[in-house]
Amino acid sequence: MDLENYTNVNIFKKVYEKREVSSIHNVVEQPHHLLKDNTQHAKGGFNPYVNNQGTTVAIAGKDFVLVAADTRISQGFNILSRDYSRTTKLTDQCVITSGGMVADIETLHKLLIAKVKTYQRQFKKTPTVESLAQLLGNTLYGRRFMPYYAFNLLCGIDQNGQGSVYGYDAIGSWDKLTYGVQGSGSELGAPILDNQFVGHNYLVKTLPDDVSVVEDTGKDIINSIAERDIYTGDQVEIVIVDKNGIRVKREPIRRD
Amino acid sequence: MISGQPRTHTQVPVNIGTSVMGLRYKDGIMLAADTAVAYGSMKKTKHAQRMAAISSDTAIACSGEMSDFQELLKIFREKHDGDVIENDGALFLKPTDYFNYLSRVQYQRRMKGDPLWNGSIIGGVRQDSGDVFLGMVDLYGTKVEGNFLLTGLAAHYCQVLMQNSWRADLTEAEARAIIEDCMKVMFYRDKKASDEIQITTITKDQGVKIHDPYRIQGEWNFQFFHDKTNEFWRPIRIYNN
Repeated sequence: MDLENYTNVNIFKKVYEKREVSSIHNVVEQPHHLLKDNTQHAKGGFNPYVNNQGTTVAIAGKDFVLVAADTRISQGFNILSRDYSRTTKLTDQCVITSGGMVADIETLHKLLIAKVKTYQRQFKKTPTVESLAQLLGNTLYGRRFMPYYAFNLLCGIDQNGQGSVYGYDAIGSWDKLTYGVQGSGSELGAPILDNQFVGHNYLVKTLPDDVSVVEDTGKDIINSIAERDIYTGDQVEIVIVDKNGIRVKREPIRRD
Repeated sequence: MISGQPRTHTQVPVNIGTSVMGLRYKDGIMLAADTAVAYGSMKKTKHAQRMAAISSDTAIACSGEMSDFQELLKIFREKHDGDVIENDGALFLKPTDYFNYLSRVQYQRRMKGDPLWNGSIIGGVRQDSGDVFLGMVDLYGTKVEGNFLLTGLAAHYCQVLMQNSWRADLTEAEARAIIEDCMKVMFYRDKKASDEIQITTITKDQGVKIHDPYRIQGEWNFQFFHDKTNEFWRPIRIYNN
């Protein structure tokens, strides 16, 4: 046992493992603080990703779907804007709402609008929510090796007239949900949603039927998240999709 | 250039212009920047212009890498000339068009891993409708619109000053006073800022007007500066007298 290192833990183990050894002479001749570290480390360089934070919640009902999202975008600890809309209309029966990087979100939304228009011209009909769900999955996976930094919820009325929510990760893995939450407050929002609605991991999914109750709950959830998450706040934007189309309203919440 | 890799230019900014500001006032838009360009901690140039007119009703002010600012001006000039040629001298592109265009250019360059390392504020007043526009684009292509916008360190130091003093019906003199206040704070706190500032106004009547740079007067006559600091003994000063 080495007497100097009486804990018997080799504290230089990592340094020894990482050092560059091209020949045995290097080990002998070079002091080991001069040996190069083999691990890649970015020197300055440009990181093309930035997280602008923000939270969005979507809840599917029997004949409607409701989106509640905050309107704050941040960069670091700075607030960039207090009235940013993170929800975009794709068709009369479908909206997309996202958290993540604003530049990527706007690009993705614009691209989807263009794809919807192309679809309409090509097939002389509006794409269904199911089609758009698959389209969004493919669009995101198409950028597998430089992903859109966007966490999306695709919300709409399906062909049976039921509300539906599709949740995605940044690289296009997706699932049909009855409710979902994305963005910086997703960890705070998910358990509240699990508590208030039936769906996740339940075989029988009972959808809520009263839009005003769901709206109040949606607003409450965003408000509660804003209480604890510094990146969520300013306004809550409610988007309701039903057979009559899309309605948007906003309410102020805490701005600190 | 690393062989086998795509060509990239700015991976790290070199000649840096510090914060720029923009605000709406009664008649239109006011953009402001100081005239210093820093190279590391050295002030490389103390009389550079960091703002320019893009068209008769749109102007831009940039912080960040100044060579990329010049590249941006080139890109805008080509866009504007194309507009003039296509429409026989009539202007089709409006302030918002230049703003959206800038955001797409920045996003495209970000995707190439070769960004234009700027924080830009674009302001404009439409000559036909009088619509006032103020927007900010960063090196990722993020678009932000607002009544007052700040880039760089000014976003930390001057946000509150702006929030407390901004009104929709500011006169030009009041707007200028706010800008000068903010610039003074920046000069005191930001080592790369200078006290020579330049202001651009965009109004419906006069279009883009880039004013001559001038020096703001800071307060330096503190006793603190008269006292010698390298004496062996120095009295302890109590600041909250």
